[in-house]
Amino acid sequence: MAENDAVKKLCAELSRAAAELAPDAPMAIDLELPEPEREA
Amino acid sequence: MTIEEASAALADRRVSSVELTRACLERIEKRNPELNAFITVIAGEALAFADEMDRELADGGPRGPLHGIPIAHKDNVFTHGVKTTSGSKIFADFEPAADAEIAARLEQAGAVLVGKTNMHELAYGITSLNPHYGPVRNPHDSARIAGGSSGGSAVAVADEMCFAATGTDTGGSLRIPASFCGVVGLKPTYGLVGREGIQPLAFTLDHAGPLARTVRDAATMLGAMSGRELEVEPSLAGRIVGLPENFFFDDVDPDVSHAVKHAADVCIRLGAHIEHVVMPDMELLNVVSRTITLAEAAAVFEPWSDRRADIGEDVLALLDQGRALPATAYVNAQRLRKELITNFQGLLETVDFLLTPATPTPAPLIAEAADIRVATTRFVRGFNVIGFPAIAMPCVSTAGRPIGMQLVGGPWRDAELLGAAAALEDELGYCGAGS
Repeated sequence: MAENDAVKKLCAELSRAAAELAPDAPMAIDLELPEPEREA
Repeated sequence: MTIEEASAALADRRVSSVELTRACLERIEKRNPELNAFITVIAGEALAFADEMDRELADGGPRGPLHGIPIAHKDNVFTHGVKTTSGSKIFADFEPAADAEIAARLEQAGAVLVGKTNMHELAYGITSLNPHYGPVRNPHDSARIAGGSSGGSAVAVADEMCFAATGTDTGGSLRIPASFCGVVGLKPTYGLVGREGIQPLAFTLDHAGPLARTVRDAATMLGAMSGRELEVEPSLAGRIVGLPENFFFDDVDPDVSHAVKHAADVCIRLGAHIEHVVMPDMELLNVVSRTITLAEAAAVFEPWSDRRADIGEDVLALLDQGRALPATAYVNAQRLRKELITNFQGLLETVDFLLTPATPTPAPLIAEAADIRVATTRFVRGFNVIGFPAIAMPCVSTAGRPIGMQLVGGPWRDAELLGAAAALEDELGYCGAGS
């Protein structure tokens, strides 16, 4: 039961924040951090 | 002794790799029964490889700064023919058919593997109180936790059972034990160090990195693990260091707060400018981190969902939470992640580094370590979500309890981050393990 409560709390916080996102907000999967070009 | 010092001694033939390795093995034999840092020790193989490294050194010179240096791997790093448990009963007899990328790179660099270190079960927790292989104990006070999940690696380095070790970090698992044990733990930029052959936990948050006694030693390890040449220039002159106004000094042990603010003063002494900054929504960043971890870990370990009796209570509870999480939560977490990365990229364009505490307290007592995961990870786990490099290093030791600070840099600026950390370390003095 405690597990379900923890999940519910997480979901509520996420929903609240996600409601403010633009409808076409992109996703991060997989995390992409473009690397600046390395010197040859 | 540091890697730098040992490497110089090897080059001058003042010591041999066999002697260094034997000293580490003797230390393990003496201290491991109490501290429980190692699950597996490979004394025979280590001495044989050290002898090979000595002969190679005599014949043709060193492969590099890790030639002949004894190290350890966290037990979720695959090692060919050497048991790799991931701290789990499920993988108790697993002997990988091949080395992980970082294991192969470190062997190629001449590092001597002495054994595999204990850890939090499946790397899913921060106490390293492992129900199957026993609790890892803090070398400064064995009644306290070492932190985790790379607890055994941090203890092995702090207690001089090896010179450096590998670890992994999904939500602080390198930096928390570094903070509690008084050593340096580096989470590099996401993608800089290859994760092939490392047991995943949450694959879009997992990072591999080094634990070492000094920043320079961590840089040496990172160079070998990533296969890149890193130019580390110890300097903070002219740099802007961001000191958070919000979140990072709330609900913090006063000794920790004082120590990190003292470090900020030292930055000024080194020619840096301190900028007080308002951090993006750290609470949300942590919610995103927890959600992604729950979902991905539940997916990763789904094949073993019929082995409930073989999984510790705390890890099982998290896996159950992950299975109960709706898919929409995971999708929204990933959407919010993208926005948070953009916010942090903006912040790191106004400052060069962020300076924060690594953990809100020094190492807690084992008896008081239940239910500390969320509080203990709150300064570190967010940087796995955005993937920026972050280093934890000792800034002071109060009554024998090390206090760790965290420096965060912009993505792919790991060498600059290490340079800033090295300058700080030089000025603060060596205040971690062994001091």
